[in-house]
Amino acid sequence: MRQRLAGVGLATMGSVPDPDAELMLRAKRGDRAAFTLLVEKYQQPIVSLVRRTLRDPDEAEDIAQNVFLQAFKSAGRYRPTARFATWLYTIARNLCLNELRRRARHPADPLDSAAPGDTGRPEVQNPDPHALLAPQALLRRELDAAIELALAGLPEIQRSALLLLRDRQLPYEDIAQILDTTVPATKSLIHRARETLKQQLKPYLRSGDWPRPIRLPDSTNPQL
Amino acid sequence: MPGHLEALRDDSLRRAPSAEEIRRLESWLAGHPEQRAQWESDLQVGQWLRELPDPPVSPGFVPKIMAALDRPSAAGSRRLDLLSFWRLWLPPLRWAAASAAAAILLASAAFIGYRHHQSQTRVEIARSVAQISDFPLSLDLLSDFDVIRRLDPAAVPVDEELLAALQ
Repeated sequence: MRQRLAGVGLATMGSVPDPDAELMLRAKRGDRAAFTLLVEKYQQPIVSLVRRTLRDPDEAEDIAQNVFLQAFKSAGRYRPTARFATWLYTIARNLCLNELRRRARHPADPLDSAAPGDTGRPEVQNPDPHALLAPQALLRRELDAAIELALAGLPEIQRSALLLLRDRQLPYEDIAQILDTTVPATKSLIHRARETLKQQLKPYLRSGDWPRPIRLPDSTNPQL
Repeated sequence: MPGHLEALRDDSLRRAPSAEEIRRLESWLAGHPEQRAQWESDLQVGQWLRELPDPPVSPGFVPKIMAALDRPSAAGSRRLDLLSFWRLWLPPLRWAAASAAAAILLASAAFIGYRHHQSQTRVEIARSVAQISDFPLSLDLLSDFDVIRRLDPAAVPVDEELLAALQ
């Protein structure tokens, strides 16, 4: 892991300034407030990535906290030539892979089953009880659960590629770096993941109850 | 398919297509109606993924991390204690291990030497017995066996005539 982190640290970021890298440099000099800002900014994407990779809410939060602790401890090796997000996601993925390997060595901990208390349904942040009662909200909740299930069924690297792509700030080059692969391979992973999701979510795509992203006139597929 | 549309397919996983992008897609689909269903499902899945709610983060997440950062001195000193323990005990342990290995080696060599000596003695006795086995067995003949065996053959010249007579 150290070698990979070092590799990320030496990567070129281009001329685009990274304000997070600046914060990390301040944190490296012992500025706790700067590091707090970084934790606050990245807590949600890191928890989301770890939670969807490990599928155990409690463990996911512990691992997510370790990601930031590891980042702080490794601050000395951080080079501002790398985008901070790329570096942090690399740490997160490495810790997730370590945990998955640990689980594989100790099969008593189920690798892909949900943790006790995890119903497989997604937990909506700040859920509005009135909204949950609405039929449309119930449908959406069911759809979200189906998407989470389909995501969970993807191979780890495909799921990670898809989840990292949701972060708008991450270019393909950085996603490839985090996944330790090439840009074409990353695009191929994303393509395969999307095709699998389409297969898994076919019943929802065909039902017509779900909101459509665009209204294309003269649709040759009216059931969509 | 034009490159910008191919990029739009992947980008739709992270952002909603702009009105201009939709207009260009529509324009392209007018000439490729067989691609419409594929595009609709791609954009639909993209929208669903974009709108997928994130799992909640516990309110104590950030304070827990910052508290853990304040504790490294304890963890560090524990690690230092362990390190000091090994630094203190490793050289004597290493010496003890080396001594034990040398002792085992010496004991093994001595044992092998003893077994070799034992087997050589047995071979010599067997040869001596073989030498007298041709003679008719008589207790009188064996009465001075040990005395004769100890005689140095070089010091006492062989009595060829007596030997010939005995044979």
